[in-house]
Order: sequence, then C-alpha cells, then structure tokens
Amino acid sequence: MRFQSCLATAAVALAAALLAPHAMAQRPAETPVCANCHEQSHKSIELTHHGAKNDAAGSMCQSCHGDASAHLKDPSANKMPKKFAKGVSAAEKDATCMTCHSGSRHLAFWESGKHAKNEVSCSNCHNIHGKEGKPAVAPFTTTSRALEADTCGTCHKQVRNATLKTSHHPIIEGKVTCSDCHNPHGALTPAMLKHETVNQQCFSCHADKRGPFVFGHPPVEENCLTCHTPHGSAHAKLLNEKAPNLCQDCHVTGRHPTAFYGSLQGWNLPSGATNPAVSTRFIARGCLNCHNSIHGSNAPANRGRFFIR
Amino acid sequence: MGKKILALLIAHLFAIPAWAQSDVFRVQGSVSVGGIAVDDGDAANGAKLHEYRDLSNGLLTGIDLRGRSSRYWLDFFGENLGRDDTYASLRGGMYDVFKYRFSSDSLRHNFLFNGRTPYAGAGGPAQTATFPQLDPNTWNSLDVGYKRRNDAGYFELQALSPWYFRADANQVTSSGSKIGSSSQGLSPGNGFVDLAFPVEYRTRNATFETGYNSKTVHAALSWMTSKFENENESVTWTNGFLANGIDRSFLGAGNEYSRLAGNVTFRRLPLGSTLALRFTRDELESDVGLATTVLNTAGAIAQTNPNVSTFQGRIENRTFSAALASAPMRSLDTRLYYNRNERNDKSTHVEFSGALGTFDNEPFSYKKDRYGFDAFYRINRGNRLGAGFEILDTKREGRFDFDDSEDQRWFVEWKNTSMDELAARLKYTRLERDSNFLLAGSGTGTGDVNYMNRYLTAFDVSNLEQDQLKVTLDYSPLPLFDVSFEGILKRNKFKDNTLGRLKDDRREIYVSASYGEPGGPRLTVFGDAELIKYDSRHRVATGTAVGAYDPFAPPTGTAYNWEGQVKDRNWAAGLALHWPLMERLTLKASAIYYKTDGSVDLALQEGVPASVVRPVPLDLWDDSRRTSLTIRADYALGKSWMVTGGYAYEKFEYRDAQTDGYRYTVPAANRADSYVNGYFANPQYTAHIVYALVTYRF
Repeated sequence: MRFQSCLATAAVALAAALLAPHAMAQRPAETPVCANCHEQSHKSIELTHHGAKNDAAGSMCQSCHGDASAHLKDPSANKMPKKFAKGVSAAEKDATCMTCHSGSRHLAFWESGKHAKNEVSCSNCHNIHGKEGKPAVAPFTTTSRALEADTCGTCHKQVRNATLKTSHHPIIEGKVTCSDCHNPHGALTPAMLKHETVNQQCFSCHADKRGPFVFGHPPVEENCLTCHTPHGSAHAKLLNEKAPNLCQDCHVTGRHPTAFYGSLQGWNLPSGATNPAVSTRFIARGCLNCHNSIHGSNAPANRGRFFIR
Repeated sequence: MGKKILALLIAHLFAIPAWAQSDVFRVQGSVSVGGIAVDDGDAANGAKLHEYRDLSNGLLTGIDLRGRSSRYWLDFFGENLGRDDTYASLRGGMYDVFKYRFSSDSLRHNFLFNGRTPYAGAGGPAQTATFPQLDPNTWNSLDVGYKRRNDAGYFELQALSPWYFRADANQVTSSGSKIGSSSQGLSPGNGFVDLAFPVEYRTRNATFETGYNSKTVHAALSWMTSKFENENESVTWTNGFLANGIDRSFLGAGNEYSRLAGNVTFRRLPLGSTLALRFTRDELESDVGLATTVLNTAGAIAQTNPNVSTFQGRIENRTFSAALASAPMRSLDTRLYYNRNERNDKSTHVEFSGALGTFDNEPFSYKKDRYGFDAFYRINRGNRLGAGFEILDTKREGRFDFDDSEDQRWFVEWKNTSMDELAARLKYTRLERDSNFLLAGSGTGTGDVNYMNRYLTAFDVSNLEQDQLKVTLDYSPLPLFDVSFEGILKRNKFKDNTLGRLKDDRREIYVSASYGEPGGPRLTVFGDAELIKYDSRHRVATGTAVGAYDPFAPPTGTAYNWEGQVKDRNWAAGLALHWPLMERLTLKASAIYYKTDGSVDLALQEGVPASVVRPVPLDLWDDSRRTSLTIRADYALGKSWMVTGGYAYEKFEYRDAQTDGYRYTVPAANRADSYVNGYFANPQYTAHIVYALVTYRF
C-alpha cells in the first residue's frame, strides 16, 4: 500500500513538473500598474483569489486600498491612505473587507460574535500580503502546514500554551484546528462553538460517545467540560483532575469512593519497598479500572447502572 | 479513497491546459521528496512519542500546487503521502460560479507499545485466557492504538448568487484498539483486568445547505445526517474471578443523528442593528437489544429480566437563538441575546429485575434559557468600557440531586489604547449560581447511610460563586519588537458544599516577547507558569451509630472526615528563531521545556483516633518533563531547487504514584487477582529525529 501511494505521489509530481513549464509559459504580459513600485505586494497576492482577478489598472489593489488615480499621477505628492495601519479602528478596517465579503455565508453571525465585539478585525487573522509573522514555538511535527493555532494563539496565548501539555488534542500535530470547534467569524453560541452545545460539538468527532445509552451519566450528558478540558491538560484523557480525585468530588456517599487514596495505596510504599496491600481502586486508572464505561453503558442491570461493563 | 483523490488530482492537472487555451492559467508550486529516520531505541513504551505522529523510518513527500486564472483556481497540498498521517487536499473552482474540495486526513492515535496481556485476541471482540496467570513473562505482547482517516468533500454552487447551494460529506473510519478495563466482580475488591477494546468505527456525515446572501440579508436552511457504525458493540472476555466464565462488556452502539437548522440575519436595521436568528431541531437514535443474561457468581448465568427486549434510545434537541447587535451611537456597541436549548430524552424506560435486583434507567432531559445584554462604550480614542449581564435558567428532569439552577453572570471590562505602543485590557467576571437541591431531607437520622445524601452536592450544578480576573498587555515599543503579558485568576467557591469539592482556583501568567529585523533574524520567547488547586472534603463512614453519617459529628474510629488538596503546577518556556543566515541559507529552530508537577495533600480532621491509619500525601501526580528541540536549515541551490535538513530531539520524563513500581499483577485471595497491561507505566522516551528533503519549485 505504501509503495502504491508513493508511486501515485511520483506520478502526481511528474505530471506537475511536466505541466508547469507549459503553464508558466503563459504568464500574462501585463501586470498591475501598482506592481511597478509595489512589486513585493503584487507578488504576494499574485496567485491568490485577490491577485488572480487583478488587471493592468490594479482594480483589485484599489478595491482594498482605495482610488489610486491621484496617487498614480503623482505618487510622492498624493500618498495613499493607510487603511490598515495601527490606529485605524477595527470597524474601519473591516468595512474595507466587507465591501466585497459582507455577503459571505461564513460571516452570517459576524456582528453577533465576540470577535466583532472585541474589536478584532479581519486583518488580525488574515495576512493578505503574506507578511512574515513571529516564529512560532512548536515541537517537531510531521506537517509543514501553518498551524491555525498559531494564528489564534496570537491573542489566545494561554490556550496556545495549553496545547503543549502532556495530554492534548492533536492540534500542534496539525490534525485538529481551532476552527474545527469554534467559528472565528461569529456564532450565536457561547465560546462561538460551531455546534449548539458543548456536547454536540464533542460528539461531532467522538460519535461513539453519543449514545443514547441505556444507563446515562447525567453530568456527562449535560456537559463534557465537567470532567474534561479541551485545550490541554497535565492529566491523561484531557481530564481536569485525575481519578480518583475527580470522581470523589461528586461521589461522597460512603463506601469505597470516599476512602482516601495516598502513597500507602500505591504499588510501592514511600520507602520504596513493595506494598503488600496495593489498592486496586487507586493504581493504574483509579476508579476507571472498574467503572470503565463512565460515559454511559448499554450493559444490563447493575453492570450498566454502575458503568462496570 | 486516497487513490481516488490522487487520480482526481491527476485528471484535474491535465485539464489545466484546456482551460489555459481560453484563459491564462498560472501554476506555481513545489514537490518535495526525502526521508526521515527516528531513533527511540531506549523507549520501553514509545506510544507517547508516536501518539499522533507517524515517526516510522521511511520516505517523506510533499506537494504544494497553486493554479490561478481570472476564471479558475486550483490548490493541491499533500504531505506524508502513504504514511499513517497522510494529508491531502484538493480545492478548486470557478470564481463566483462554484467551488469544491476533496481531502483525506489520516491520523494514528497510539496508547501503548510493548505492553503485555494474559489474553489471546486482545484488541478483538473475543479475548480469552485461563486464570490465574500471575507470571507476566508468559503473557502475550500488546500494542494498543488505532488509525483514523477522514475522507471529505464539498461542493458549493455560487452561480445563482445571491442564492447558493452547498453539499458537504465525509466519512471517518477508525481501525485498531483502545484502552479499556473492567472489574471482575461487582466490587473492586474482586480484582479488575485491563482490556484492549476493538475499534472498528465508521461515521458517515452529510450536510446539505441552501441559502440566500446579500449585503442586508443572509438566510440559510440546512439538513445534516450522521450515521455511526461500530462493528463490535460488545466484547467478550474471560473473567478469572467468575470461574473463567465468559463475561461481556458493552461498547458504544451504532447511532443515527439528523439535524435541521435554519438561520436568518438582517443587517442595516435602524440604530445600526443586525438581528440574527437561528433554530435547530435534531434527533439522535440508537436501538440496542438488551442482554437477558449476565455472567454471575462462580460462573453461573443470571437472568436480567428486562421489561423490554430492545432499548430505543431517542433524544431530541430543540434550540433557538437570537442576537440583536446594535451601534446606536458611533461610540457605543450593544448586544442583546437569547438562547433556548431543550433536550428531550424520549428513550425507552428500561427496568431490570430478578435475582440481581431491580435497576431502572433515568432518561435525562433539560431546558435551558440563557439571555443577556452587553454594551461597550468608547469614552475616547484610548479608552473603552464594557459591561454585561446574563442569566442562565436550567430546568432538569431525570437527575435525582438537582432540578433547577439559575446562573447569574456579569462582567466589567476596560480596554486602554491611549498609547500607540501599548494596549491593555482588564476584565472581571462574576458568576453566582443557585440550584435547587432535592436531597436535603434524605435519611431518617445521622445513623442512616442515606443521611449522607444530604451532602451529595455535585460541583457541576451546586451553588457557586465564581470570580475571574483577566489582564492582558501588549507593548510594542519598536515596530519589530513587542512584549506581551497575560494573567488570569479564576476562583470557584462551592459555597454550600460540606462534602465533595469545596473550591478550586486557577492562576496563570504568560509572558512573551518577539524581535525581528527586516530580512534578518526573528525571535520569539515565552514563559508560562500555572497553578491549579482543588480543595475537597470527604467522609469515611460505616455502621449505624448515631452521627456516623453526619460530617459535623465528632470523629470516631469508623466515621471521620478527611480533606484533600490537589495541586497542579505547570511551567513552560520556549523560544523560536527564524534566521536567514545568508541569501541562500535559512535557519529555523524551536526549543520548548514543559514541566508538570502535581501533588495531593491529604489530612484527617482533628480528633480522629490514633487507630486510624493516617493518609500519606502523594508527591508524584502526573509529574512530567518534556524537552524538545527542533532545528532545520533550508538551503537554496538556485531558483528552483532547495535542500532541507533537520534534526529534532525530544525527551519525555514521567513519574506518577499510580504507576510507580508497576508490576502487571496484583495477586489476591480467592482468584480476585488483577491484571494490567502497562498503559502509561513507562511512557518516558528519548528520541532523535533526522530528516532531509529535496524540493523542486516551479
């Protein structure tokens, strides 16, 4: 399978290489007049949606930067207004983009979302001219794609940092993006989630947890975030706390859940000697050793009721 | 599917000249080929290193194509082709007429390498063994993990603007195994076993949406369907405690989900307003045949006597949201919003009866109404004030401890941008929750075990006071030099809880700085420190003595309180550097140090008799250190060719009280032995990663 895929890759590469000179040979004779001075800006958008629709008059340049007719006559005397400079309000910056994009389906809830309320402008996230950003701190990944989390992390710094924790969604690995869960262009939901509730958001990937189960666990059914923290945790499975601590925070009514579990319950005693009385309720995954089906169970009778099968 | 995408790509590429005849179609891109070698030889269990990445030695590939004409566009990106973390995406379209995308994204999720299990068939639907088996050296080796692939596509028709139509579809397949376990009897005193549950999932989703877009109105109607299939809705395994009988655990059953959604947004209303409305109506179904027998004591079979043969799981959700965002004055922004969320669990009420006892399920439903108002007023160019108030009213059915809750939240915020180089934001949020507790009168007296239910105040809904303070500062004294600070303090106080979680506290500060020279080196450094604390109180109680179940009673040798404080201390520091050393050579490097240090302090209440063994605190509570360094050099051989060489070093150290001294078995009397498989026993690793690529640009 791997050999076949590599062969297919090679075929694609060959096809691309063969086609490239043919396509490149047909570069347009004309470039936007703006490129005479602003060559780098032109090149940065040449093969983007913006650039592809440009023309000799630089109509696409002017649609964002404004009427350049006076500027073209005397560039030094008639400077173009700096519409995206520091100090220009987010609303003014956004108005430029909205000239064309206000009809986008993605922006249906822009005005209602938190980003608009917090004066985040389009250009805070969208780098139209490919300006070099700050280098991102990240471990080795097998992807060369830019991580969306690095863009969002420009403002949401602690969230970006949480993705580096021991337990995390594969965000820094490039397999989960912020926009898989959140709609940065606005939503009517808290935290601008793409789905209506936290649980529906989680279930969109974790379909095996959807149920409905014969025996449900109400806190689980109401909010996954009671136990889990989605951006990263020091504890496995993105748990807020480890078991048994997490479980004990609710299950207080006697018997084994309310016993204390400390260093005398582990595999070894604090001295390092083998513990002859290991607690099976504490070692390994704690409560989950037995109550494995904690998200809900279809097992019958007490097996399901106590989430042990 | 991957092959299909590649075939489609090739077909698409050969179509380019045809387009080009009528329009100039410019293509740029690159093709990379190379290899990767990874040495993690000392890792006893390298699953953490390979958790989400395919780091096997072998070929690396990458393709990046971009084509544009004034009418058509096409992007293709592919990397790690043929590997377990393949990513390929083909997007294209005709401007303002249609667009499409096909993609395939693979992922591996590894949990355990080089584990051990007494079971044959681990990871499959039938796992067998003969117990006791207390010598792990005779066990089978075990790897636990699965591969996941998401094949997706969409097509959007824009030619009929302002009307549009869009169809999305994807299929997610997962194949392999995941971590599982089970008690052997009904109590942990009967031992437990680690199992590897099979993962053979397929989820198919499709969404169809049609809508109308203009500068003043957006309206859309969509229908989504999702079907989850699990090849193994249960797994059987040998239960050593129950006389080597065949026991059965139940996994997530197949289900079907469908959702109808509609939304409409009206813009340019009076007072600079935008009104957005949205509704959804969805249904989740799962039918499960109920097991009529279970493995019971001494290997006997017991009847479960369900009142129905099939559980028909049915949950319906209805939501409605509305938001009115206005700008009645140039310096004032307001928002008035409402969310209604109704969950109706119409699943079969099931009752099991007989020798095992009577057990019935409690379908869980709720209605939530959330409404609020916020406003932001710009006093002058440099100062902006904001404030808001929100109420969340929740009514629950099927939850025995709490039914109604009301959350009141308000915030105030100040944002200052008086100085061009400095932006500061300060936000304080207060939340108060009042819930109706249903068990306040439980138990006949303090010697009745049910009396403790009076303190069963689960923290997720119990009365709460929450304070949160957040500060952010961004300082840019020079065009290419900036410093940022972010601090957060969040405290939850469960004001009426006597037992369980009493309060928790999180505080974190993050500092970063970056510096760059045009065309020169750019550097980012950051540091982060976080402290999280959870305080709780618990009661050990047995017998029927007066006061046994009253946490306010004086302690005895069999009934007393104890308190715990969990602390998580996390530190991180890192830097990243991009440095064009010379015209042809660019260096990129990143280094991170991340440390987690957890502990649990335990203390008995004062006055507990000396006969009670004192708890000993836990110092190793998910303690880890991860050090990673990655360095890469790109050298341009000319306009078209580039060579890349890279090296990465990763070291992960881990210690935890739940795995320190790990021994695979816990022998016990009466065949109540426990058997574990090594999950998270030895996740530490040291890895050296070397890779090289040759890239051709065109």
